[in-house]
Amino acid sequence: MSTPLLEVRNVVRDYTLPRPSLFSRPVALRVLHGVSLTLGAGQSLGIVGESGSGKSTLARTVMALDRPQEGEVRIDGENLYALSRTDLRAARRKFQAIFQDPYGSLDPRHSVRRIISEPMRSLEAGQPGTSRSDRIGEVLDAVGLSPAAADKYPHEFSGGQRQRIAIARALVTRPALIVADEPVSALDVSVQAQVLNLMMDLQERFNLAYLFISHDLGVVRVITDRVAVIHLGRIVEEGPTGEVFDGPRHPYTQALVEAVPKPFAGRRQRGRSAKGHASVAASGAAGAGCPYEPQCPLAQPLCSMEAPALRLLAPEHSAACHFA
Amino acid sequence: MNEPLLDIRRLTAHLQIGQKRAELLSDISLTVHRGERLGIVGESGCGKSLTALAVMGLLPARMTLGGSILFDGSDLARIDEAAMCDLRGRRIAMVFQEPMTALNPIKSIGAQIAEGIRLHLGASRAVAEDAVRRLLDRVGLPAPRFNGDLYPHQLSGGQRQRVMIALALACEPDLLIADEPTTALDVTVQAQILDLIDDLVDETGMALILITHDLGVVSEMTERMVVMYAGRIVESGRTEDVFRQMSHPYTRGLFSASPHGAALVARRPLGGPRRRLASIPGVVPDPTNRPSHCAFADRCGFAQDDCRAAIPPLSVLWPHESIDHAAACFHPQRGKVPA
Repeated sequence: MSTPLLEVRNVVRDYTLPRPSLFSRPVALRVLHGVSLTLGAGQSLGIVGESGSGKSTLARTVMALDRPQEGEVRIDGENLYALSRTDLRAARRKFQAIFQDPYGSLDPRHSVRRIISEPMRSLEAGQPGTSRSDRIGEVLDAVGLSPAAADKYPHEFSGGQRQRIAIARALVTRPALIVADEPVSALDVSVQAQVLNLMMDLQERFNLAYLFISHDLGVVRVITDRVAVIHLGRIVEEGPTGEVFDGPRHPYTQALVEAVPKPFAGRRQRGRSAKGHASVAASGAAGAGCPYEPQCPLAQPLCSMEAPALRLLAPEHSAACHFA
Repeated sequence: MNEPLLDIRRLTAHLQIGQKRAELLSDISLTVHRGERLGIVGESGCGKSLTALAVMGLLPARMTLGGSILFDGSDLARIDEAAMCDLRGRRIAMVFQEPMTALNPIKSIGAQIAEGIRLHLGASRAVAEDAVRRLLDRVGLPAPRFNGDLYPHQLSGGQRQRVMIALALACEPDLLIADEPTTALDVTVQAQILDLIDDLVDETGMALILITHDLGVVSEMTERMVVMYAGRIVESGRTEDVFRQMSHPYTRGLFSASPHGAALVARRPLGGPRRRLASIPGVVPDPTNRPSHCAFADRCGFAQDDCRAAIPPLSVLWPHESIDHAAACFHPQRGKVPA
């Protein structure tokens, strides 16, 4: 196979915590422990995990906003963190982001036209203005807004429409990859469905690749081809979305899938999880064992001694568990 | 049947905005018995939280209420603030959606939980302290890791929601209203919190009103449910019956649009076109400008001429089968939802 569109290799990201006292050494919290992913053009990969698992840090790393301590991020074979400032600026046209909050991610004092033209102005200097306004019309049309919307301001739109504007802004540089960090979490169910459908239409029309980050397994199931489950900064399971959700192999994925309330399930009858919720801070002092061991219902003595590596269980389906 | 604990009859709420009049709640009637779990489902702006706030007596003063809210015999829509203060937190308690903002950041959690106990039950400081310890244990925040001296910022979202629940339970209320208690939480934490609420309802025999937009949560947690749209109840009934035969097109639309519904169908063949969600076209009508006919008619795939002529009343669907299942629709649908 040729080079994939996005390749993330062994990315490690540490954040320095505030020092407990002036004289103590700075403490680092490792948020990503060697994460690797690949994503082909026109494909979509979901990242699911709970808050604090490192999903959004991963998104920032892929967007070249947060330099990792180790590892590399390649888009079309180019290592983003080895590029010069000018080259990175040119490369940024290929990947754009959509964020969660449709209220916070659009400047309320800018017109829609200015919001959408911003990526062109900062990433494509020296383009004539006429082609720009044509392209604004094009992307507004693509996301289902009328050309008249260009002269309005964000407060005149509903949440779903604002998310359409955010998508238009992401599309305007004709990217190959869109990193979507919880793009529909703030929307109501019926509007959420509209936006997800739009994202699927656009994917087919422009051959977009999505790195789709969400905590909502249902949403991820609808829109992604493959899914990676991330727990405390490590990928614990990865594979085709349907396969992972129908037959999860890692106990953490099983717990996640099990925890989703399902219609038609009748009154709650699931086994009550006895073990508590490990905090992220506790993972800083992780021992040699599997990081999920303290919560895992299936833990064996081996689990506290040796951390399992991600291994292939079926074609394209891998999990990091000794007993998967 | 014995008297319901809460009996809301033809509740309306409106707000005068300049020349415009916003009809926020129209003709809401529902009952909750002791020990019963009622779910209220709907999208933002449908009035589900307003209904809860009306019961709590927490609506802004400039909002005009009509109808009655009978709670154990007294009409909450009419009693004065002093009488409401005696009930609020004592007999009716509420868990809010945002555990981050609903707790006071500059008071310890112990002081916040003890406040109700000291105020309503007149307990001494020592007795209140014991009660706080017991409540924290009960909601899954055991000593020595957790104690009343902690402040909200020292806790995670799920832990804060547990504190909110302890706070609501402090005076052993008869009615607990939980407004989207798990929306801000991760799924595994959500499952723990729902389990906790479920156990507490079993143990204490209080009534629960659970407000949510998640059909999965309603299905797993409640015995009866109402679906609200644009300030009205559009469908109500036993949860099981409603799920077996969703009758109002909006309920069906809501279900088909949710990814849970889509997850039930077989996955797409590899390389084939991706299956689209059945979204509901259009948006919820603005409350200042709601039509004088069925508010869902403009988004409805089954709308006919009569739908644009009058507002359909909430009526029992199968009067001959004595099933407590009603919908406000002139053309209720039959059969299972095609997922």
